[in-house]
Amino acid sequence: MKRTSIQVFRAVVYALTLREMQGRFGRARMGAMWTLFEPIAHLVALTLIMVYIRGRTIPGIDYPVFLLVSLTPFLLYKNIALRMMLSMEANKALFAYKQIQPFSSFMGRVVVECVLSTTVFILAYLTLTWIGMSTTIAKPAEWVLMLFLGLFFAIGLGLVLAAIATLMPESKFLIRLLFMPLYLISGVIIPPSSYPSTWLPILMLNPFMNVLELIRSNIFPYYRPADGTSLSYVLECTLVLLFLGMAAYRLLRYRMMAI
Amino acid sequence: MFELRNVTKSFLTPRGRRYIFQNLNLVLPAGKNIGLIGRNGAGKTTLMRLLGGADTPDSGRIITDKNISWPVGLGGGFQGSLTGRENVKFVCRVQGATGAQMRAKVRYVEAFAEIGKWFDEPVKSYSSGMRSRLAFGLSMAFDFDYYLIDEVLSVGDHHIREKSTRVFREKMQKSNIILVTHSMGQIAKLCDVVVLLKEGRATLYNDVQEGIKAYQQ
Repeated sequence: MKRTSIQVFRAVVYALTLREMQGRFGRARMGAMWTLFEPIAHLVALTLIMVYIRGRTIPGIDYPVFLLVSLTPFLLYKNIALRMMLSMEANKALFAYKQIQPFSSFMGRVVVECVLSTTVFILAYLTLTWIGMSTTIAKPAEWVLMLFLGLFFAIGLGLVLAAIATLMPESKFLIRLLFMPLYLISGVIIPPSSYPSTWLPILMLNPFMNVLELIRSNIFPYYRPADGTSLSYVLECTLVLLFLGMAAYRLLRYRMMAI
Repeated sequence: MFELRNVTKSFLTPRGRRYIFQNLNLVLPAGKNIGLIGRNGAGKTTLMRLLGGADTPDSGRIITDKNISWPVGLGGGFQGSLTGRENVKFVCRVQGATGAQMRAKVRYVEAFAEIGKWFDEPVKSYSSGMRSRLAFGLSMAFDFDYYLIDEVLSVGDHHIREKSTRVFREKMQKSNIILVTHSMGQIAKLCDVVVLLKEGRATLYNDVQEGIKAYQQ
């Protein structure tokens, strides 16, 4: 009984997702704990540093909430883009099964990251609400749409990075390095208004910055996104990346599977 | 029908492009068990991967209307941190076996591999023999028109070889195998024809003994 391509793809992505979850939550004693706690520990540490040590506050907004709604999507998008790039090498042995192609392993990683990220967000969100911080979301539907836009952006970026890594395997190291300063210039930890105003035009060229501003403007009722925040810019970047990424995948997919 | 038409396959090494096959044409006779023989490095594993769809040629086509297994090799495709059982379930899902079918196949592989409680231990703790038995049992759990077996039987002890041969005999009533091995005894026992790979060329010998002799020269 022959399955259609979609049925095969779905079965494979499901199998890959389960396998990766099992691998990450594995037999290591702290396995499950670590996978979830790492991002939470991240959040807590950063909050402590920024609020209590450096005394940063944002008018009208609880800083931990600001951090949660900025850091979670940023980390999700970063992890998706990077892990897609790294998945080909990690799953090399699996390409022996002809049902498994690099695109399946990409989507597997996307699903895993989304599930983990959502879980962490919900836990942290509930915790912050419980301790009395103001966590109401002003425009939830728009917020979710923005999150999805960012997701597609991340997928497009991941496809492009995967293509680059296939053509130049040495670049993986450099790309991972570049994500570190990206953290600092994307308005994740501090809002754009905290940067020197002369930097702003250049910073707004960063799609991550734009996405985060858009996300935040849908959460906090009186949040004023920085000048130059542009939804259409993000849309354009996403479409260009997806187009380039898919085209590159079509051309390079056999090379991606090569030993 | 199972054939290769003008297949070219090369690998890029730091020292340049190495061609394994160039414009290879080969028709595999239907309904026969085929032995792939040749010296180390002649391209047996590469050919097997091409036949199984695990790899693609630089140019040319591989044409078949049959259901081919994945190349069953020495324990590749297993995730070390997962248990034998979890790995088997993974392959079941990929191949489309769910629910009751999956449970039946898992039981079959567990019974075949004879690794006892290790079935629920991470694969990375297995010996090479256990891994091969698991890989082999896994491929036997599914129905294919052609089974591609790459040296997996070579690491078995006598008991396992007997068992494998018996399972093969059952399967061979409805299917065929393509076998890579250096054991001419196995070739003579199991195969109807042999393909000798030498210097990028593949020669089909309908007489197994003749093929073995050509290999041994």
